[in-house]
Amino acid sequence: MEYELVERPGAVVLKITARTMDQDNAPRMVAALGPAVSAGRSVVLDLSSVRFVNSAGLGAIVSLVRDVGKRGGAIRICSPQPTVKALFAMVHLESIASIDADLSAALEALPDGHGG
Amino acid sequence: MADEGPLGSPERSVVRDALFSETAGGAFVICDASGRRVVAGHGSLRHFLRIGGAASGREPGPSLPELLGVVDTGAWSSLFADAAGYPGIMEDSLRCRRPDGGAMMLRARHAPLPGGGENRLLFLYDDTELEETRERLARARSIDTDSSARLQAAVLVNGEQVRSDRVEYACLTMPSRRIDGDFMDVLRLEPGCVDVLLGDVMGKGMEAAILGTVIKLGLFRSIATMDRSGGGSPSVKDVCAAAERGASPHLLGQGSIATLAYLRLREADGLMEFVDCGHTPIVHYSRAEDACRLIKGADMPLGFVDAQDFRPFVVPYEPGDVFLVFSDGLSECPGPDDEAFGEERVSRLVRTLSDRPASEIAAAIVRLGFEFSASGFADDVSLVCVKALPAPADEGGLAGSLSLSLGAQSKRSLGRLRTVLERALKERGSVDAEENGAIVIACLEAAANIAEHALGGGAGRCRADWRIRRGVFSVCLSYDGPDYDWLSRASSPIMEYGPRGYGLGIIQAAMDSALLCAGLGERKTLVLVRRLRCPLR
Repeated sequence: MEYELVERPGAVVLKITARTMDQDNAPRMVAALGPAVSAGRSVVLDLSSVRFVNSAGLGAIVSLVRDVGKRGGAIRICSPQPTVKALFAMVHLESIASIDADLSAALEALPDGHGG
Repeated sequence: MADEGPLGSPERSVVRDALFSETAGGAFVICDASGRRVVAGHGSLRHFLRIGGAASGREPGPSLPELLGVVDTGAWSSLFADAAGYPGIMEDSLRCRRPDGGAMMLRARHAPLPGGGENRLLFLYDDTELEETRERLARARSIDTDSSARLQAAVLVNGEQVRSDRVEYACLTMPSRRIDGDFMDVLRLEPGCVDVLLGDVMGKGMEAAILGTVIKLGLFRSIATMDRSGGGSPSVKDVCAAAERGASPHLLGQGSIATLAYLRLREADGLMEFVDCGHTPIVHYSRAEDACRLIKGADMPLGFVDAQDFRPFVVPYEPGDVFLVFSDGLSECPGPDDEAFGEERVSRLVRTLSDRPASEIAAAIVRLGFEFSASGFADDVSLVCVKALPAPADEGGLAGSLSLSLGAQSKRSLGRLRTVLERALKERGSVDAEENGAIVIACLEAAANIAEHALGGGAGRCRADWRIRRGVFSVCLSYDGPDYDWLSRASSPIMEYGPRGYGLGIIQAAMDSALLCAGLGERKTLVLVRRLRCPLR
């Protein structure tokens, strides 16, 4: 599997286990969150294992951020590795999505603060 | 009847003569096909003719060339040679002598007389004043050309004084028959750094030469007075902006423009930084590829607008590489059948001559351009040839080359490129892993864009020459494919919320310079350069 869906109180965590996110796998990963997004739930995207995201992977993440916002949910992205962090900085992703250093910080920061 | 000049009133003329009709400043005469005998007419313009009472056209009298005082009767005969039955217009200018001994330049033009058999309708026009004006203008131009040539030689075209053990510089100018406003120079503003400038003012003669002088001196004054408290020379971008500030009022005031190529060669780094203000492309011969590229920047000529935000680009070079900066007098020089000498021909010559010293390359290209031209250079030809010499052995740095299979193999090739670049940047890149990551992402995006847009998703090859030297990363991605607008980018890509289209934004964000150069045929080279913010020591 290239990803894991983990239920947490008040949020669904999508942990990407693949080392890269690109046009071949990113849409599939993001689609796994479809039901949670449709239900207006808050989501966390855990990128701690991802070493590389290309522009297609970035596009899928941006689409996810947009869809969650439309459904009234909240989204946080956590644990980007240096190369991924560099990509997010270049495109100013932080202007549309919150980025946290790790998963616990992301869960804590969710509106209902169901960390741990 | 004396030749008194034009008669004042046509009515009086009709009464006094019946040979000529008057027109505004000229006269019509009906003559025979030999042009010797006046047949008919009415009105009068004795201004042209030394007619007397006997010249009625019905009695033998002086011939028409005699009446006109034509000096070269042979020319008159030529004007009417084979005129009988000729359906078209024949014309010439003839020198005549007035009765008072003064000279007159007579314009004569004749055509068949409708319904008049072989007779011709001859139009005569006194061209004396126009001819004298032309002669005065020619004399003035000659003086103007002499003066502007002296100005050009003294002020506008210099640059031989710069010597370097890393790079050869050769400057050459071949003035045209009428001087343009070409200007050029080679300057060492700091150790290890040489600036080359070559510009071309629209127009000719003294006016263009003065504008060239204004721009060049304004540029020098700007360089001399710019703030250097941060150390080093002012940036190429700042130099061009200062030059534009000084030049724009003069150029806009006179409705003129000037192109300018401003290059800075960082000799130890092997980098050429430049701003191109609408100038002719720079030819870059790459010894590694044994091929030439045409380097073109993105700015407008000086004088188009008050001020513009100049975009500098950087191109890496290696020993044996050659840059040729030249004015369009060379590339646009017309040869047989009006075919231009052309940038492609210049590129081929640079490649052929690349083993020779810079001075020989420059001289040979000017000579071959001159030989190609049908009648000498119509515009000034100015050029600066720069050739990188062998580098010291301790140059250091890290470099490599990869041949990438794109299309079905893209993913694998891009993975290989990523691995190689990550390894190299870890060894000689930035202290900051994020900076290294940004470079890798940008390079992969560029290669992916080549695969998708330039090669249209089809199979193709791309050669990647990368280098990390003295804190600067560069990569040249060469491929065969159509043009692709690498300079375009979304102003704020993330706000567009699109699933695609981030590639160019990423490349622009990660790199200090992204430039597409065209080679011969479909060859393209995308050159990406980034000066590392935190280089490993």
